[in-house]
Amino acid sequence: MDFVQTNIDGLLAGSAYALLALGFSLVFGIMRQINLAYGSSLLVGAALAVWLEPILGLGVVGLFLLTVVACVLAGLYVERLCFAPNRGKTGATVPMIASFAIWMQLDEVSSHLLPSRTHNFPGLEIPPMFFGDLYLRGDQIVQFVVAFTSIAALYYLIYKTRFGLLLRATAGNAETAFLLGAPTGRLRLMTFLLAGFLGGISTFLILSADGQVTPLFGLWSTFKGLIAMMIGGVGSLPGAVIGGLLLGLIEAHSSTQFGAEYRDITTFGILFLILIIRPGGIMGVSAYRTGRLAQERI
Amino acid sequence: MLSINNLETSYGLIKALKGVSLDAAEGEVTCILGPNGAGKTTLMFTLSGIIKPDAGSIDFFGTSLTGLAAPKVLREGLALVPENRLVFPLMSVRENLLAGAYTRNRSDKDEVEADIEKMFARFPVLKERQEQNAGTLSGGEQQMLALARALMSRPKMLLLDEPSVGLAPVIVNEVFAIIKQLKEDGLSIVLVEQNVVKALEVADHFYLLDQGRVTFAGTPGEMENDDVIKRAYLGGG
Repeated sequence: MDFVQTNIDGLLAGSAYALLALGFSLVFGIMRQINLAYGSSLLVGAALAVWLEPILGLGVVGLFLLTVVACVLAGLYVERLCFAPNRGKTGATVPMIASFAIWMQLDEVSSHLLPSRTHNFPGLEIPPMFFGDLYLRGDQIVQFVVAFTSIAALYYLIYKTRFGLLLRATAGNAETAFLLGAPTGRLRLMTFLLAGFLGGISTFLILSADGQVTPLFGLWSTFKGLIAMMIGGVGSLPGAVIGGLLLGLIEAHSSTQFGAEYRDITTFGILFLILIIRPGGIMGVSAYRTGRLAQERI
Repeated sequence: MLSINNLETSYGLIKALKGVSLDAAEGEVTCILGPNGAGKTTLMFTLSGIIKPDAGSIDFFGTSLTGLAAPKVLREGLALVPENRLVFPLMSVRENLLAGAYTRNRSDKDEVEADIEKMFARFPVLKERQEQNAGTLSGGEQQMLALARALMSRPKMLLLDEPSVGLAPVIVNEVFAIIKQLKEDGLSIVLVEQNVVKALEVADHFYLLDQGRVTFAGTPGEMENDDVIKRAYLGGG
């Protein structure tokens, strides 16, 4: 029974990691660039939301909306400042380094917005559920349902709509997409807003489950998101979901087997193995191979 | 028709086009020949709005395209099939075609579908592989897809940048058969080629481009009569 419970705990936590990884993967998949400021833009979004919420007095639903809007705005800020000016001219390095600088800046702003370091983050008060010996936290079930609804909506957007078609075309070859009339600059901006939107949802879900927000959340979400993305496959959207769920499972099992202090070392060990056996991640290899085959044909 | 006047384009300090003037008439195949580095691809990129010219003008059916960005140029009816095909490798053949129709109105959905069927009739191999990822196609098939994708925007004129590059001779013949067909259907084409013999089979007019300048303009017949050019480009003699 413990084994089933651990799997459930892992998947529930993993659903939030999956959303974080999707934020990184969207930006990498479309632009071939890593946005290092992603985690800190989520932190500053959360910090703004808890700072504004008591002033506006909107309750938990208001806090959710504030968090999402603030994360989208933070994403807009990062895109305009780091990525838009360097579009195509300077390669991937300059925007990445610029996003590292913004990481520091946003972390600093956040710690001023959260002077007490640990700030209360009101959660969803939903009673837990019991199935025999199995214990399910109500808010984590909500987290799982919301995360997978978001993932399903994202899937629909990317694979079934005209907008998604253009986004994938831009990811495949931005210059050709531009030649076919796609507004590639706007599409890149939309990618950032979309990543901010997903990030805002996951931020709310994670922080409300924890009941608190600290200035360390930026670094924490960068770690979890990047690791989940690397496990699943860099730039692959299905890979981000798989990587997130696997990360949740790995953490849950290593905590119950070896104790919480071995959780991260186990994760890094498994990541190490995956990167040796399948460089590029679980889903990354097939995408990489097809891409290279196409290149070779040319 | 397309009329280019004194076009100059540079990459930083390097001037790639040093005042190119040429005309491409409606319903004809205008061929641009020249060695590597002559500025042929730069000319294509400037015409299609990927690079902005420093000076000169581009006139297309009475509208100025000078300095317009690629999406606007395409909307005016001038479509480029870039060198090396550049299909979207991780998207299906059908999705590649749909992406080509992006500039058309959303309300045209039925017509876009009808056009996809027309492309499948013209390029039967694409119909067979419509659900396959474009990255799994052979070089020749990718060239067909790139052509079909450009046609999906219903252009008035097609710019073809080295459609035969890297293809087996049999496939090159197929590509040129399609270019002939498109010409017979009334499409205007500007063709950039290194395969001079093949290019002159379909060309009505041609231009020689060398080091960013037009060095010769004429009809294929006139070229046959010019010994110097004949020797340089057709070999023998």
